[in-house]
Amino acid sequence: MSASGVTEAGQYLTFRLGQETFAIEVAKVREVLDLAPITAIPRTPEFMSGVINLRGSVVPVVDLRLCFEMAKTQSTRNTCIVVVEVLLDNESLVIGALADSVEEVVDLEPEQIQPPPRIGTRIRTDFIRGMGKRDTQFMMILDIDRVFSAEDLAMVRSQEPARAGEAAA
Amino acid sequence: MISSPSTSAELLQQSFREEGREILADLESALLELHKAGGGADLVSRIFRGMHTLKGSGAMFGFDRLAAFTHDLETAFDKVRNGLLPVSPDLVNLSLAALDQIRTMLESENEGGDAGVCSGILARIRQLWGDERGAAAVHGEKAAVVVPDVASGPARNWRIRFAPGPDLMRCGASPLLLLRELGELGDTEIEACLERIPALADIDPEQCSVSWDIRLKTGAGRDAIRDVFLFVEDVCELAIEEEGAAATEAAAACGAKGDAIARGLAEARNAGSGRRATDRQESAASLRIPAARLDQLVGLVGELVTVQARLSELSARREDSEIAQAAEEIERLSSALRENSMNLRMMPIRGTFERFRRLVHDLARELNKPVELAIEGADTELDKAVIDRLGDPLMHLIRNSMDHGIEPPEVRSARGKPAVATIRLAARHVGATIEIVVSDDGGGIDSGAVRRRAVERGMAAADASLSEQEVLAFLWEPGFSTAEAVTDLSGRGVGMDVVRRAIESLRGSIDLRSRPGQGTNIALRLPLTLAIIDGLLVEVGGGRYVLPLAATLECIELSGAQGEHAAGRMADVRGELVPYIRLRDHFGVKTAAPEREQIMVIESDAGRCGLMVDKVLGNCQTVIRSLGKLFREVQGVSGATVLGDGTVALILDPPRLVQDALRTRTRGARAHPPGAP
Repeated sequence: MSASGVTEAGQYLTFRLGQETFAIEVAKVREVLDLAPITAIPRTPEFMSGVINLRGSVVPVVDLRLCFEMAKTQSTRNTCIVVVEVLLDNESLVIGALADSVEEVVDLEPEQIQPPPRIGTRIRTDFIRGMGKRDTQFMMILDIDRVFSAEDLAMVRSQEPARAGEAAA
Repeated sequence: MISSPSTSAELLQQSFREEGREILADLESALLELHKAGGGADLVSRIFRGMHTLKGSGAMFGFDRLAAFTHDLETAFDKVRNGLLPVSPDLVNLSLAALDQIRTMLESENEGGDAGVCSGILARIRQLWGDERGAAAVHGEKAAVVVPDVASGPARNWRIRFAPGPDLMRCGASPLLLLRELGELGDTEIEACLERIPALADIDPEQCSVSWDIRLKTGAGRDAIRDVFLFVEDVCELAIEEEGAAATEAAAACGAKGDAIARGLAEARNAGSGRRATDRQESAASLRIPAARLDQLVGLVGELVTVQARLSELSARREDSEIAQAAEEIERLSSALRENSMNLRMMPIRGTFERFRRLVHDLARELNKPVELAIEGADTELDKAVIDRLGDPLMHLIRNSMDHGIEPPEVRSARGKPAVATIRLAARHVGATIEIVVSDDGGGIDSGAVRRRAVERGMAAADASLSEQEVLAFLWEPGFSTAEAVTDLSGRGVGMDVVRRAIESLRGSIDLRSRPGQGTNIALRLPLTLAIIDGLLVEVGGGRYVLPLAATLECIELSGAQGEHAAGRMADVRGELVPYIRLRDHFGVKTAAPEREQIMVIESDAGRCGLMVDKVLGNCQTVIRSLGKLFREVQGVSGATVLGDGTVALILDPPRLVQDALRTRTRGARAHPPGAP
């Protein structure tokens, strides 16, 4: 249905947030890290968990659950940071995404992928590129560039004065 | 054999641009010195040499218009060199304008630059020359001599053997261009000698294995022919012989005129080869490295330092003397490595300073105020990244001084000051910082006018008691001095907030002092490098932060609710009340506060100010990492750093934190305006 619909077979990394299974194209994923100490940055929106040290460079980490209006991620033994490379304003940017657990890499044929449902999902439909089906399991294939699109991350900036306002009150 | 893919041509052009920029900068400073000294054979030949190189390389790399224009300019300066055209301010100014045109041609894609302007400049230089010639008719005869057409002598036959050395093409020269240039002198018969070409498998495409025998019929002299090969002489074998007749005949035919030309050219050639000789020496002693590669190295060293810190921490825990020894060794080495790699980025500030000679010269003419720029400490070194970002703020400060600080000459003489004003630009090291002073001997700042203006704009109460420093601080407020202020306040302050922001973004500070009638003194204090920071590691609500040491004055302890006043939070620092910001509140920390908290006292625009933290963990010297695009706009945090245990700590930006807090406070205060009339 959409121009970004999935028509080619590809490999996807699947991970879980709560009960839901999500998938990201393998090409977008740089690596998967065990949960490392995250340094919070004051006066930024809650979904920005903070920054981590990735072999000397400072990488921002986002709590995907908060992006998808789920409860805040609780760290467990299985919690991981999926490091992805996204395009933001035509610039490549490395961002970490918190996942409750990382499952596996799967091959999906085009016929296994259906267009995203228009209603009934908890997360914004424009974040979803398609629904993958494997055996009986469904997974939401994320349009990770869109999730981290400038518009949404711009909240990092716009939210800040609002909080300053709160503090003033 | 002739390599001409567009990419390598572009590379060559790029390297010519770089060379050209340097030559232009040198020409500019030589012209300005010439203007000051009013003459000097050394300077004139330096200028002549520069133009000559520019012309030669320009033609070689395909900048034909640039070469042609420079050629005409060079012709004019040949007259100066021969003492036929005196150095005058007009000549210098015209030449400076010409350099600007050359710069435009050099930088633009298709050798832009306004042809009309160019020919205008040349016409005016010729006019100067014409005036001179009219005035001194005696010299008229000589004048005609000096500008002979290159090919004006009787045509003679020359045999030239041109055998490029293996490195000729690596130097960026193209034999084809050289042969073509030779062809411009007269009719050529060119024969290539191919016997040195190796077997196909052995051919190195970057080497030239062909040599040429050329028969040239031209009226030009030997030197004109040699001149074609001026820039490749060192990397080729060149033999020029005249067929039949002896060279003396030629000299006789040209007479004294020919001699003069020959001498001039020989001189230029010597000059050229002298320059090449020094270039070679320099290239042996120094390397040109792209800044990006240097940054990469510094980044890697930064990572190494981080890992080393972790190793030291681990070894301290292990209590294994052998590992401890190795860790110590690595610590020593990595700190030496860090120092060394930081030094690579250090550059003398000279280039930036010298650039302002031109600005001062131009403005002095425009404003009709004779001003001399005195430069001190130009060899002081600092990080290239800092230097790159200093140009603009310094330009604003100098412009301001010229515009508003320095009085017109009449006023100056009435006040008993020397007619020529002085602007001093000085740099020196002060500890781990550099101090750059811009001062003038102008009229200083009228603090009364600043004060009136501040009251007018509602920035201060009419009856507020303000110290001189507090009044002057208004100058740095954004938009303090706008166009309408020019008359009253003499406009001082235009762009001053731009300067302040630029200096703050470099983590520097500004100190402005003014003595009415005697001048203004602005001192900028900057860190030597942006790559490393000396800081204090502090803790706030479990998070660790680095406070730049340069911004911190002292640290005091405060317990319980002490310091809570109705007017806001104030701490008693040896009898002085200092307002402070509790970072826990500012950052929205909800955990319980420790019993005793500490206040770091910092210097801000609004005077002393405190930042309250949970505790101070100690000193640290760390490599600064950018927080990246995502957090560019986060207020009060200027970057991040990786600590010894591998976690990330944020680097605080005290001036921004204070500003942020002040804004919050004024927003609160606006609800209850203070006792309005």
